[in-house]
Amino acid sequence: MDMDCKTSADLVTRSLSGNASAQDEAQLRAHVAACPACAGLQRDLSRTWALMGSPPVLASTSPAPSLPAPRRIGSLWLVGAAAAAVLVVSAIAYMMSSPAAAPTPVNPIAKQAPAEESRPEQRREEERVQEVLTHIENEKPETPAPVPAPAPAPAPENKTVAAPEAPAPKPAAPETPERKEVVVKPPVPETRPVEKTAPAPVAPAPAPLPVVATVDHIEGEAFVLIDGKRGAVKSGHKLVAGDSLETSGKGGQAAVEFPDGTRLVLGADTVMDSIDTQGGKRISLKQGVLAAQVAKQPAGEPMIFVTHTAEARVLGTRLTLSVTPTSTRLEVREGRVRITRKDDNASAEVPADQFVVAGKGTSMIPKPAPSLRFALHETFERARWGGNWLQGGEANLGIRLASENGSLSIKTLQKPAQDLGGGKMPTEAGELARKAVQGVASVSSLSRKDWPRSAWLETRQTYAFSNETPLRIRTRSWNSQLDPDRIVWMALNHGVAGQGLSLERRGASLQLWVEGANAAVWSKDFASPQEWEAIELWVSKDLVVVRRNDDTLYSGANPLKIKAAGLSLGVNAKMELAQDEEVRYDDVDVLLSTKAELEEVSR
Amino acid sequence: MRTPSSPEEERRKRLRLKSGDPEAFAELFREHQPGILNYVHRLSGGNATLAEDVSQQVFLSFWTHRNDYDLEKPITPLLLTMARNAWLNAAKREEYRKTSELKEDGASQVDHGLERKELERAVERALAKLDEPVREVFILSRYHELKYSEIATMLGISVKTVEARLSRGLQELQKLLKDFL
Repeated sequence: MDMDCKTSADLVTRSLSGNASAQDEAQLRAHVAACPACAGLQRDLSRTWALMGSPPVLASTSPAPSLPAPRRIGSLWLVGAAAAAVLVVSAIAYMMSSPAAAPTPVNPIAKQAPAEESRPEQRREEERVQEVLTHIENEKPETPAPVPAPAPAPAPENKTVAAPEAPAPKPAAPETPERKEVVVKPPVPETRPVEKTAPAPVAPAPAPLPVVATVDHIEGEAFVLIDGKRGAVKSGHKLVAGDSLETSGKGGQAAVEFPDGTRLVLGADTVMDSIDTQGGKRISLKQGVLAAQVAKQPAGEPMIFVTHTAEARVLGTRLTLSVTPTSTRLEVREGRVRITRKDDNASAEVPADQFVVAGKGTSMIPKPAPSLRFALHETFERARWGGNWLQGGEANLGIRLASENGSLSIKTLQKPAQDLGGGKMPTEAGELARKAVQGVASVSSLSRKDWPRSAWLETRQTYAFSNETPLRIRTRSWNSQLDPDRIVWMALNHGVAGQGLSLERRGASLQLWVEGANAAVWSKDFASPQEWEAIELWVSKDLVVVRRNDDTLYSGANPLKIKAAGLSLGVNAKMELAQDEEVRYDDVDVLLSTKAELEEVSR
Repeated sequence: MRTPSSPEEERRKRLRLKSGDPEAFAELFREHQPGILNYVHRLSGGNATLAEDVSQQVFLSFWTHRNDYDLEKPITPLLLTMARNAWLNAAKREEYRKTSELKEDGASQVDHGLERKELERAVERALAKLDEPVREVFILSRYHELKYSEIATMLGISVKTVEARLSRGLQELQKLLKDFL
């Protein structure tokens, strides 16, 4: 087939750019063979194409952005389907009398603007229960959480949702429909299906009350109020309409599951009363903190959370509700939620990523919510840091870096005594042997000088931070005077001169260094390290804060204007690490904080 | 920037992305970020600051809205489209023009120094001399290996136009670089 020279350039381009068909190629070849001009054109264009392949390539200096969505909660949503909703409700203990009659609480928090940052205690508790909720969910990923009731059957037998694998074992035969249980033990005119341990209250109710929910996990002590009497509750306890549930003590916790998969977690010292499901689930929170994952509710029957100042209706959203005696703050993560102020019935519909504070005289116009405090929560658990580390590798170090239950450990597997020789280790002191940990997103290294007592962990992932969302890195690790002279506890962009920042102990002082600098940015005597040190490093674009055992030791300008960093953590072993002995690195947390919190700790 | 991988592998990756697996995101980032970065860098005529910012923005935005995308379709054109839009938005903003001017000198000194080859400079200059619509098509084809049809979809122009621009661009480059051929 013949072809016009005019189309040669197009055809050559097509061929070079990989857009030519076999027919195009054949056509081009045939034409070029017969046309010296087009052969020359083809040659020139091909060379040009090749030349253009080597423009200066810009290498990235910026790392992967930290993910904006909460990771673990993210997986929760995957499991929980779009209809699931998480709710955190918290209330400061307050007078039980009616709101109008209640004397003004002395709680200083109540006087301030009800910003959540002003309630660190409460915030922590919210996170704790939220965490529990997430964990429960993660432990049963194969079961979609909000299983819609197969039929709108009355609550009692609707126990199709598998109970979460909580540590506390459930009583046997959880599959048995509740109604059957009631039938099986009919002698007493019971008002409720009762587990063996709880004394059956003899109430003159004519018909058995339907079970509305089951208590399926308890930590510490929990009580249920039955006819005004406080009785201890065990896992598996069935709650009926009107029941109250209380947790007691700092570590108290109770999880409650509804037949449709809706799950509540009560935090410490929390009182939830008059649980009901008539015409929609209704929970009244007297005090404390409560987190909830709410399955999609039937149309027209929202789940209602009542506090003394406000009411939130949930149909399938994700939100946080924080309550003080004078206000209720609602923050919505997904969907839309209507909040109504009881005082004047003023109401607002709050869309995703916005919040409203309903208090006396507050504006009910939703505003953009600050980023999630737990937007990034890296606990270094399980597989992320697991795996063998240099075990029997070329260096044959015989130490293992392991991660169990959220803590890291280095462990000797064999006596380290003779393993140093043979040139297997780096010969220069301080030279690093780097090795990727198998299948794990981290790089570890160690130096001969410190061997085998310290190890490095470096994240490949990098974390973006800003003034609004400072990065907070907290570790608790073993340290003692016997440790080597220099220990780097934490480093940002380790080893990158001018971009890295490290917090280390040199001799008897704690020092902050910029990588590659000649002098420490800051240094403080640190005469007697405790064996367990909790060290925190906070970094925003402008500020660096160092904290030790919850005391702020240093607060100063960020010497680097970096906005993102990879992290390194130094893990130290004791001087003498016996065979099979472990040194643990507990409580490693990396999270995004808030500006307000940073300001608080930097004072 | 395309690495050949099996359809099954691709499918698994997509699933992991959809499900919000941060590892999958990190992988995606590692694989595609250099391409996106350089795309914006070239597109903007060498603004490294803007390229960095835009590429970060693209991936964050992709992550945030990952459920809205049809991940059955090739991901490269999607990311490039996002980058292009982000660039168009960002380029309007004053701040970048300023930093761009500041960075321009510094970047070329730091990044390339005196040893930068004459050829590289010539290539860069030649690319910058192309008309923007032509340059854009050239970049997408040459450096991102997009097919004509993909470029056409992405830019909202016809395949014929894509071919015409690419062909024209290549011929112009040939003239600009004739000393090196």
